[in-house]
Amino acid sequence: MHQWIELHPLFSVPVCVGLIIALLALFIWKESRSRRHLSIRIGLGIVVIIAIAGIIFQPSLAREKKAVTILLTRGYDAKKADSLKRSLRGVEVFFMYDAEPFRGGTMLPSFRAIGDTSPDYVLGEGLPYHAAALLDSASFIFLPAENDDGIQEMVFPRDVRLNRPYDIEGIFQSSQPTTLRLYGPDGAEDSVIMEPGRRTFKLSCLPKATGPLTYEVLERTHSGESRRHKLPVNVTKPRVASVLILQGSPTFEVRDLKNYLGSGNAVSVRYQLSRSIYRYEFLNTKQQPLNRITPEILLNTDLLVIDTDALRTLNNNERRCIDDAVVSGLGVLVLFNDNPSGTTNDLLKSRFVKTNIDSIVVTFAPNRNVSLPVWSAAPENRVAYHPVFNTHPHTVAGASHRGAGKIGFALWKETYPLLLSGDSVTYGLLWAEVFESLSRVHRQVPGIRIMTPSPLYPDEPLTIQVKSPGDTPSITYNGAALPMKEDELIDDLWYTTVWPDGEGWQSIVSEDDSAVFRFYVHAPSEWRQLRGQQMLYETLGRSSDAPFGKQSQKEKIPINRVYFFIAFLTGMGLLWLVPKLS
Amino acid sequence: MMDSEGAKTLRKLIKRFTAIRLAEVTLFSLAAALIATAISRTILFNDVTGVLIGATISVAGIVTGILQNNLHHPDRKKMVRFLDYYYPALENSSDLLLKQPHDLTNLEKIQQDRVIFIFSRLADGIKIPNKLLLAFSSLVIALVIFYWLPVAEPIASASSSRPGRNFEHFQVLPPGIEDIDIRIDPPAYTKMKSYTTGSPALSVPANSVVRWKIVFNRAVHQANLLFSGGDSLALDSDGNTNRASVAIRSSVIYRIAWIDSAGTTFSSDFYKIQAVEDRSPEITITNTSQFTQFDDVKEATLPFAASLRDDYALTDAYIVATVSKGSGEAVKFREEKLRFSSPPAVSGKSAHVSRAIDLSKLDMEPGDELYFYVIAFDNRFPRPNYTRSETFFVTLRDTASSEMVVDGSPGADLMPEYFRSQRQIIIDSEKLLREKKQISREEFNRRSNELGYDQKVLRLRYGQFLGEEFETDIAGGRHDDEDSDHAHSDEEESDVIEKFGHTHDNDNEHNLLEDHHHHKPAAPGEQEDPLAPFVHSHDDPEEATFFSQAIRAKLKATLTIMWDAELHLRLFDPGMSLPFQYQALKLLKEISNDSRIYVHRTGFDAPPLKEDKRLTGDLEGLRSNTLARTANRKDDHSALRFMIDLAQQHESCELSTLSDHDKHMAIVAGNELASIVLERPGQYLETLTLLRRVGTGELNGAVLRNALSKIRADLYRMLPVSQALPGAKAEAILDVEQNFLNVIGDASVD
Repeated sequence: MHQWIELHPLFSVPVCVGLIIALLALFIWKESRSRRHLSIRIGLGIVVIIAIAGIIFQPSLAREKKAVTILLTRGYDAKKADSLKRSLRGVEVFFMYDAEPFRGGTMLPSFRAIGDTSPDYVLGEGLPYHAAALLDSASFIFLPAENDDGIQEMVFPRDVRLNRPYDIEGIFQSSQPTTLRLYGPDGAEDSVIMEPGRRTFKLSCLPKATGPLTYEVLERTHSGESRRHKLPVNVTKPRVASVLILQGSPTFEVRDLKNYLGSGNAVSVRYQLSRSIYRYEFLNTKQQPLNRITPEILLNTDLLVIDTDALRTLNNNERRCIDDAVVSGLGVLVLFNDNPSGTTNDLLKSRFVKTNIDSIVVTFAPNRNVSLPVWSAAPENRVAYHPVFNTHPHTVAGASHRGAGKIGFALWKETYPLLLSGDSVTYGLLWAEVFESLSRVHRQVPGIRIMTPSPLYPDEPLTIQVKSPGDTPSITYNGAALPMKEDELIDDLWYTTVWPDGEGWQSIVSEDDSAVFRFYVHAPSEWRQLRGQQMLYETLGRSSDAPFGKQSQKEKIPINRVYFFIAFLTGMGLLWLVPKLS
Repeated sequence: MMDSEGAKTLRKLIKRFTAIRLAEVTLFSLAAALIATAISRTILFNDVTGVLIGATISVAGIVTGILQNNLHHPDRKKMVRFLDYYYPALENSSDLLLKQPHDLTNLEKIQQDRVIFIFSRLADGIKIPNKLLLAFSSLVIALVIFYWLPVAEPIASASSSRPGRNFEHFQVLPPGIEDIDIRIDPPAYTKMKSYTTGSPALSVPANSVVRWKIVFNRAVHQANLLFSGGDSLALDSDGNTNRASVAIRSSVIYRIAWIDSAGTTFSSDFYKIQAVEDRSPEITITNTSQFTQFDDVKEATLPFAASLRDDYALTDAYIVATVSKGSGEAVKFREEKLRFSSPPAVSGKSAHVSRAIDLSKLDMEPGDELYFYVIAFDNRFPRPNYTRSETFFVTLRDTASSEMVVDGSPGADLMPEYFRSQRQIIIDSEKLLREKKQISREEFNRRSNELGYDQKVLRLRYGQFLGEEFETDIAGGRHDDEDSDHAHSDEEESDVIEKFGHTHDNDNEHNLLEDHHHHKPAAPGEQEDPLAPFVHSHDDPEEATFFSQAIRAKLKATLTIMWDAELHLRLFDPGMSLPFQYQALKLLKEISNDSRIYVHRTGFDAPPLKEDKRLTGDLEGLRSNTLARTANRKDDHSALRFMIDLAQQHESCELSTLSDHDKHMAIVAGNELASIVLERPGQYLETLTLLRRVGTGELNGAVLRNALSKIRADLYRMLPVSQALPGAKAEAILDVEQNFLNVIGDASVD
């Protein structure tokens, strides 16, 4: 059943209804004080109230459509378009500027013109998200075109760190065997041969320098056709972290761990030589008293590494301090001096059960595995910890959110033999993952994020989200300040839109702290298949799910608010005039 | 009319023939000229001479061809003969085409009409035999040869094959330098003469003195040679001529930098000086087996010969012989220096030396062993190079000692326990045989069986040292199941290997042990393990390396004999077993002598413990202490990483000019790169030059961008994969998100 009228209230419905009722009550109270021309005044009052309601609720009327509109986008099937046109009466056809011309159709010079067409049918690859947003949801039927061969979907981590292996994963569709090759700044880094069909792929890379790097993905079919796509990667250096290590007694493991962490971070170490004798070490940080663990110490610490021997020596106050600090953002890593199976760890608040696993293989990259001896134990409540490494079925290193901080554990016994065998790279990968999954997350101001999914193209709108407490953030692009709009519901969350005017690396600058945020604009010929798939999903998501031919053929005609305003003025004028009549 | 058309067609045919022949001649001549040019410019003179020779040959060939084929005056009769020969349809009457009708008889006229008719039909299909394809192919081949043959290098750089004279391609001098003259004085001991070159890139014998004489085209205020590693050398100025000299001890990269009178700094490209090290002498010994054994001391003379060679000159060579005497812990070593008998003194670049080593003159007795090697010295100054050959082993067999064990052992028996056990079995076997008549048959059999068991235990013990730890291994079986109940952990095995095996970093300074990395080749048809040549399968009995190959073979033979000895003992026949037991004992004795080595005492001598303080728990004097230090890892490639980032920013047009800091970092990056370039000769020199140009601000615009692009690719390629370092993360978190996390935290804690 279709509604004949549809309301678009300015505020939420209860507020609007409350407002009308309040006005109505005010009117009744005011007009009932005099009996003179009461019926006329009541009639005029109702007109005024209706006029106000019309202004507030913004009604529109639904009526049968006089004509059907078809929008043809790039890659549409001409046979389908012809067939559709023949099967419908009074059809008006529009085609996009980048689509094949359709005889008898009208070309739309830009996506902005789509809003005026109100299409009932959309054919082809679909619309990019910014164009699809101009159409009402579920107001059209989408008849998608088949996407071309190529990379259909791709996932690549947003935060890329120096000297870490990363995987580029995605879905590739091809009708013939195709080689995918990843080129880094110095040449080919990885490649994979894809068999015909729709298949997943994975390419690995390991950035060796910071800053904006441009990788390249090459698709080469066995028949010799090739396509190249730029893959931008902004590699960042980790910030210096403050690490506190509390150890029961000195071990080789912690000695090497301390040296490793100390090569780039501020590290404080306390270990116990006898009951009352401690040794303190401070690497890259100023000395401070560590004989008691206080909230002040933990406030300036990003990660606390503590072994079970040291944990036993903490008093209740110190344990409470650590618990509170974790809720406030501190990261804690618990290491075990003996098998924890059958025991409950006070800090982790988790009981460990025995397993039959005494060693485990951790894989970092296709050719980089490491076998580690581990305690034969696992947390009883496994779902409470998300694994740092994918070591199914047992979690050897896990982390759990607790407030703003995280607490986790590592069940391996010793990793320093990796250093002794010269494999410092694997050692670094192992511990870097654990530390960064637990370490305190510092607040960054402002936080800039591109909301538009990649690939980005020139002269297309790009939505930028800025998290900035306080005043309106000052963001510039090519020296021009960008107008910011704050989110209606969430404080300090801002949005702006940019139309990039060039290809390659572009940057927007936060004038508040001169921070530069880089993004990459692709050439229009790159990643067409990926964009095609994105448009397909975007358009499908907004299209009607009604079966073909069953969708509504009605259109909504909004009632002009001027009429309500005139009625309001007239009603109010007469209400003023009536008491003056004799 | 018809007559003239036939003649006209024939003339056209003759013209075609002439053109084809002329084309053939020209193509062949050009081919010959190209080959001559290529050869002459490669091996004789230079380009101009080559071109002149080629042109001459070309012209001469064409003229000769024209004259030889009479192309300047085509012969019609020749064509007529050709037509008559190849086209019988013309009925040998082609000559009628050339004649006027009024000169012919009636019959000839009839025939002429007939020939003209036939010829008019044949004319288009007549093919003139030619060699155009061959001529064209010759020209193509000649062109390939022309481009393939290298151009002769300047005489200065190709004049000598002596070390230190192989200059690199002639370098173009930078603008501002009018002339450069470099004199190289090789070390005196090389006996090489001094020589000069105009190329700034050099390859010289190590320790040569290189003297630069650089003539600038204007007066310079100051000129320096800047070497990799930061060293610089000021040139002594004498007008426009500047001089400097330096002794080259190792390979370096340098450039010439100068400041003109206006104060402008100039710099040349980077040039490499390759220091060619004096090689150590080479020793080749071919006719002597590494292990030699003599039974009789009177006949114990070992002929020995070797070939010696050095790149400059040999000064001395001799044999170092070590005689070992005695056994067990009483072994003694004596070292002697043996001179070669021919020639008496070693000199020259190569020498063939020989000597007959008479063991009796070395005062050797049965059971003694001789280890010797050859050492040769060259004339390097001040410290000569020397090379030592592998070690050779000579043994005088002790045929008497294996018999004396039956009579008893010396007062202090230095043999390990397992060497006595075989003797004990022999003694017990002989005793059993003596008592055979006094004891019952059952008792005899039981004792014989027990001796067989002892023999088996002994065999298994020796089998362990051969890697045959299980009985089945000795019998040819093999344990594939690694999880069998034979509890030999990896740790235990590695301990055994350390105890009885060898390690590659041991102190075998005298090279007394032979190299026993023996790897069997894969059998045909078997899939070859690609790792096989590179691994050392200590677990494999066939590959066990507890002992050297010769000892292993003896030990294996001993085990086989022990099998036979045990067999007869198990069959209650000690008499038959005894010969095998004696044989096993003899081999064991030889093994004990063979395995005699001399090992220096090594390791750390810990200070003696104070026994009165030990384990008392006295912590008096101990207190908490604090250590503070800065341990930031130094990034050796920080400037290289900076340049990569900078180049990327330029490539993406974020930057268009370079700041002074950027230029300074380019210079620093050049210094970092220079140290790497030295380790990889010949690579990245171009990048080094580009960095220098970027650093001095010589490049601008598109040229700068292209240079930075090349720099970025090369530097990125060079960077090694480093250890990943953890750090803190930073995210923009709104108050509402923080509150949300806090609420979750409170809930989870509660």
